[in-house]
This record gives sequence, C-alpha cells and structure tokens, in this order.
Amino acid sequence: MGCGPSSSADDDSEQQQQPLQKQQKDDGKKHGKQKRSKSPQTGGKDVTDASVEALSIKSALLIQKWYRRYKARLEARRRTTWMIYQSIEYSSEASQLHLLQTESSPQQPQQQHLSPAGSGDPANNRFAERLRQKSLEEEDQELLELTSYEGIQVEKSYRGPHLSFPLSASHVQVLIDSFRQGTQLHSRYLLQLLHEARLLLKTKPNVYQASTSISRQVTVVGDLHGKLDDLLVIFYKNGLPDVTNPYVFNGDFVDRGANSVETAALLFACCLLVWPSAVFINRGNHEDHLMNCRYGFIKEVQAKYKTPANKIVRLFGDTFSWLPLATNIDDKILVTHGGISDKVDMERVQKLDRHQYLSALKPPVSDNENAKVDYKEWRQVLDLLWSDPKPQAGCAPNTFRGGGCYFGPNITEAFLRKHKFSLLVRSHECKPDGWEFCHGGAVLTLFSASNYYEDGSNKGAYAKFDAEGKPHIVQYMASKARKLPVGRRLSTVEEGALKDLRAKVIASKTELTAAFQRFDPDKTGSIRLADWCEAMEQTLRLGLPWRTLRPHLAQLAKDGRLLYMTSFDCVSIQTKLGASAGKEVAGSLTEAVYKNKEELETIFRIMDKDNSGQISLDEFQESCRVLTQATGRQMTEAEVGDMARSMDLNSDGYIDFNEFLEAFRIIDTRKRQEDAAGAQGGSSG
Amino acid sequence: MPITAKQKGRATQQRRKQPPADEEVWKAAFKRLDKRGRGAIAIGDLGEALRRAKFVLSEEEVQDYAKDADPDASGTVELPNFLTVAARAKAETLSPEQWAQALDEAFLTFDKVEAGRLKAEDLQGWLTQLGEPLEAKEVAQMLRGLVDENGMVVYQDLVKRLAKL
Repeated sequence: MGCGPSSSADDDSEQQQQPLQKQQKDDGKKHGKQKRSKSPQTGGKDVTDASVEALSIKSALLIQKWYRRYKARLEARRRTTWMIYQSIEYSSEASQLHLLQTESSPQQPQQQHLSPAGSGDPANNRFAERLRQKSLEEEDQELLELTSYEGIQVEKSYRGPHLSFPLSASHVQVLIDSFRQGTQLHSRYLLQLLHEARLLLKTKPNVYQASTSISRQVTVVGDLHGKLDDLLVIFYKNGLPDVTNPYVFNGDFVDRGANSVETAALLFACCLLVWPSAVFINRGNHEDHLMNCRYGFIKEVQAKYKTPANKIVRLFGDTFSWLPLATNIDDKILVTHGGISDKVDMERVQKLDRHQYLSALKPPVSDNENAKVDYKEWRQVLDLLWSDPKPQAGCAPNTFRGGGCYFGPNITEAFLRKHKFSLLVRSHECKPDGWEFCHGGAVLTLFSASNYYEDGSNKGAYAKFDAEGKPHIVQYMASKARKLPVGRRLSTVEEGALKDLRAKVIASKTELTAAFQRFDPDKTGSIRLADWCEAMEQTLRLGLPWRTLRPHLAQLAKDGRLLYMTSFDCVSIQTKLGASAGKEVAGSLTEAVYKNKEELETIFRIMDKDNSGQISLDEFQESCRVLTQATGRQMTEAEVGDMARSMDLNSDGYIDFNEFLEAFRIIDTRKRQEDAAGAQGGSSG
Repeated sequence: MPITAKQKGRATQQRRKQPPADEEVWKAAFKRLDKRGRGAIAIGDLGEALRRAKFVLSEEEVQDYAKDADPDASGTVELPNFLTVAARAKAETLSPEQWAQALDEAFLTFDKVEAGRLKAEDLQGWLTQLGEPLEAKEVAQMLRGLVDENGMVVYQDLVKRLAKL
C-alpha cells in the first residue's frame, strides 16, 4: 500500500500557496549593480579567488532563475488542465440534475423548464412513480422484507472475512486486511452490517455533537469517492479511530472510485458500530440513490454481488438517507459536505426530518394529495450538501452544478457570527493540494481522494484539529505516479484531460460545425481564432481558456486563420452498432447517443426495477422517448427500434445495457492513422 | 534604477509592435493570479506572474521591476503597469540561442574538466548555498530522473528540461 511522503503545512492564512519572495541570505554576495542583460562571460580562467567566486555565484544564479521559471510554467499548465477536468465534471452534474428535475415532479423552485411531462404520458408517469417516496412505516416494513439477509447462506467455499455481531476492533482489522488483498465481503455480512448501521444512525440527530474534551483532538477527512487506498493511507498515518482519536468523515465516500463498497463497509458500518461515540459520518451529495445510478456505485455493486445486488442497493440507499447532515465540533467548528447559503439556519436544520430526502435532488412527494412539499426545508438540505464558496460577495444559485448555492465571504461571515462558530469545514470540491482556505480563513475545503481525475492529478489531505480548534493539515498521494518527475506526471494528467475534452468536442460535432459555419458565410473553411473561441464557448459552455488550448485542439492555416474542421480530426466515435441506417444518419445518431450516454444510463438504471442489469425492449424504447423529451434531441421510432434490435444480441427481448454502453468508444484517429502508416512501412501522407 | 521617460516610451512602442500572441500570454498569466477579478495582483505575486509569462528572472530583477509595477506603492499591481513591465522585460531578454549558450556556460563554470557531467550532490550544494538559494526539495524535484547510478547528472539533459516550457 503506497503511503507517500507527507508534507504537513500549518496555514491559517488565505490562498497563498505560491512561493513568496525569497530574501537574499547574505548581502555580501550581491556584487554592486547586477547587469540585467546577460551577455555570457567566458572569463572563467581568472586568477583571483574573488572573481572565481563571483562567477560561481553568477552561474548558480542563472540556473536558479531558470528553475524558478520552469516551476511557474508547470503550475500554469497544471491549472489549465485542472480547469478542463473540473468544468467537464460540473457540467456533467448540472445536466444530470436538469434531467431529473424536468422528468419527475410537477413543480420545483430551481428548475428552468416547466415540462408537461407529469401529465398523461405513461412513460413519464412510470418514471415519476419510481422516484416517489412512501410513508415511513410502509417503507420500513417493505425494506425489512426486501433486504433481509436471513435467507442467505455463507458457502463453505467462502474465503473472505467472517463477521459476528456485535462487532469488535479485531473485526475491523480483519476487514482491512481482507480488503487490502482484494477479497470481497459476503453479501450476507454486508447486509447485516448495513442493517445494524442503519439502526444506529436512526438514533442520531441531524447534526452530530462532537467534543474534544476527552481526546483533545479530532481528525476531519474529506471526500473519499471509493478510494480505499486513500482511506488505508489515512488510517496508517493517523491510526484507527477510538475514543482518544475521533474522526469526522465529511461525505462522498462512494461513487467514481473502484472500491466504494469496501470503503463504505469499512467506514460506515464498522467504525460506526465499534466506536460509535468517536466516528461521525456526514452525508455528502453522493450518498444519494439517484447520484449512485449515474456515478458508478450501483454499477460496482451489481458487478460484485450479482444476485443479491438489488437488496444491497436498496439498503444502502435507505441507510444513506439516515446519515446526519453536519457535525458540530466543540460549538466552534461546523463540518458539512457542501457549504451554506443565506437561507441555511441551523435551528431549522436540527428540526427537519432528514430521512424523507431519500435523494437530496428530489423533494419528497407523498401519496397524500393534500400534503405540500416544504421547499424551504428541502432547500436547507440541498444547500448544505451542494453549495460551493466563491470569492465575490452575495449568494447565487449554483448553476454550474445545478443545485445548492454559491456563497460569498459576507454570507460566511454572517453565518459564523449568527451561530457563534469560528470556522466552516467543507469538502465537495477537488483541490490540487487536497486542501484550501478561502474567505479569509473562515472556510476550509478538505478533499481526501488523491489522484481523483487521473494518476498524479492531485494530492489528498486531512486535518487534525487540536482542542483549541487549530488545524494541522497532512497531505498524501496514494499511487505509483509519485515516482515520475513532475513534468512527466503533468503530461500524463494533461493528456487525460485533453482526451476527455476532445471526446466532448466530438460528441457535439453537429452543433459545433453549425456554429463555425455561422462565422464562415463564404465557406472558405477557415475563421478567425477569436470566432473559433466564441463558437466553442457558446456551444460547449465549459468556461475554458480556449485560446490557450487551441494548439491541442485545432490547426491554423498559413495565414493564421483557423481551419475549423480540424477540431474533429483527432478522435472519432466508433460504434459496433449496425450500419443499417446509412452513413449520414448513423453519424448524428451515434453522436446523440454518445453525448447522452450518461443520461441514458441513469434512466436505464432507474427503470431497471430489479437492478438486474437488463431491461426489456419495450422499456428501452420508453427510456429513449423520455430522453428525447428531456434533451429536445429527436430520435425517430425507427432509429430507436433499430438500435434496440441491434443490441439484443440473442433476440430474447432483453438488452444487457452494460454491453450497450461499452458499444460506444472513442478512438484516437491520429493514432490509428499512425499505426496504419507504420504498418505499411513506407512514408505515406 | 528608475525608468526614464525614454525607456518607458520605447517599451510602450515595443508593446504596440508586439504580435498579439505575447500580450495574450501575459494577460493570461496575470488573470490567473488575479483571483478576485479586480484587475490587480498582489505585489508579492509579481515574480510568479512574470515567470508564468515565460520570463526568466532572478529575485533581484523582480524587485527592480516591482518598483515600476507599483509606482504608488499601494501593494498591488494593476494590469496596464504589469503589461508595461512585461514589455520592458521582453526588450531586455535574451534570444533562445543566447540563453542556451548562457546556461551551458553556467554549467561549465562548475564542470572544470568539461566532462559533460556533474555530481548531483555538488550541484545541490551550490544551488542551495550560492546566489539566490533554492530549497533542497526544489533541487531534488529539478533533478528527479536525471541522476544516474553513479550519482552524476548529464547537465545537457537538465538544460533541455528547464528550457522546454
């Protein structure tokens, strides 16, 4: 298990992570006026010691200057790469929310398109129904029946960890060792674990009260996103939890990473059950059934557990909704996953019924016609789990993500003053160093999943607070990428980001081509660089520095104008689906499906009632219809039918949609051409 | 050294004659450090901004420029002043060939036998003690992957790495 060199940084001040000016250590080394234009001197053979020393100093200075510039340039490139990843991530989240909000309930406070979908159309009604909440008793009863572990036997051939309840510290060690070796926890134990954890969580208030009176310290961990490696690094460096070493886990420990199940099992169930007064787990925006449909957790459970997967998914979903929303440390520090807004009021938060928000993305709609949705209450939950801080004052809806708010320094200040806190700790945003202060030191972001976007993309960090509330931050990176020199590591990350970006460009080829052509009425094939940048931003809305990125995305003609069709040269979408529809149509259909791949997957999973990984042809066609309405992109019945039939490989009326998703792949056209040229042996154009 | 009106005029003229590309790079570097979007950066960030804009400068040279970048000593550098300073730095900078030669010469100073290699340990010693010292950590990062099994560095490789960006 990699545990990297950690550099701890005490930092109470704001954003300064750039190296500050270095003072010259010894003024005696300055030799009069330094010439600024350096013509290289070759007088290295002088006799006197003094001038030899002077020359050494000058030479050292030159090398140092170059190094400093190199370092600054690396940082600039890193930031650009960063922006690409982040903007793609957030725009994906926003489209997800948009989809859910237009599809399900008739009215919400933050939506932009009122869809008539709620009325009449049977496809949408069924969709909406799936998201509806039931009454508590009904649900508990149903849940207990559906997710019972009683009937599951543990086979003699099972080589994984065995659990017996009540759990003890030795079980935790057994789990850690087994997970490290890659063995899986049996579904029976997992279900039992979750049931126990759920019962315990039901007894907790909406906001935990944590105290350092006994332990004199507390450790706060940010997003883990299924990265078991990072969790194990933290336990290795900081020790397992117990009464003298309490932990707060600030949400988002599932989705995206490959070990969400193991991370959740370890955290969730064991630590909570073995040291219940010393482990505080906050809910994050990914502890949410709807998010899990899209971001990989459900996929992971299905792949690992197959038959009992349905029970496990259901139970996780319910357990997540019982997670408290925040932790209050010593009445001085508030820890919550996303942030705050001008409407968040801790008294209100204490009183609300958190369990009814099975998904923070949907307000609860009960069967009772007369019950109204309490939007103000829903807002509290949404803002706590989805908001982001911003440098400008004020509070605005977080349109980038599609949920929660952007809150400014004045909002933070008012909030802290009102509730008498001195610090807000949150997570939710990935930071290159794993941590970042903002709002003049009033807000600390902690992100604990290293290599989140790519190997080498960022460090993770956690914070230990002492009894006075002063943080000590520890960074780490759990991977092999550490051994590469910084420049090369950056290129790997950069290439990854650029690949994702090119994929997005290709997926919007039709729209982009139209946008480019608007600037080229004479059809010369080239437009001005400035126009290209504008077209890219208008269509893709990623807020990226297009001019800087241009060399990686498109070619210039000799006259300096931009050949816009070269934007699509590097990649193409390859599909295994039948070419029956003819080339032209197939092109835009492929694009449409690729672009909406994520949406389709989400809808599929919601429609897949028994979480089996298969849906019937009819259900598939319905899903496509829903998608068409949500995105306004037309797919004719014939096209949908074609696609469906070509995916049903054994013609039994069912589609395995995991296979369908794999049917689309982005390939690097350039590489293919190179390979082809290489194979031919000679030089080819 | 106070900037004369003539020099300033020349710098502005130079700036106007620039192909737009340069100014874009400078503006981009400036904007990245202007986190609040106020059109100004902290004086302490001037060095970082200039280096991100591809200038090779010593700390002392940065201090020199700082006086012009922030004439009213407000602690902040506005964009127009920054661009003027950048233009001046460009006017005073060497061509890539001159730089490559200068760097070579610099290493040769230490490589008395002209073997093309230097001991990494020695290099670290010089760079952390002379001139405007770097931290040991920074030197380690600079040399990572370039030190062979005998602890020697082929400094041409280092020159290539530093000049690449």
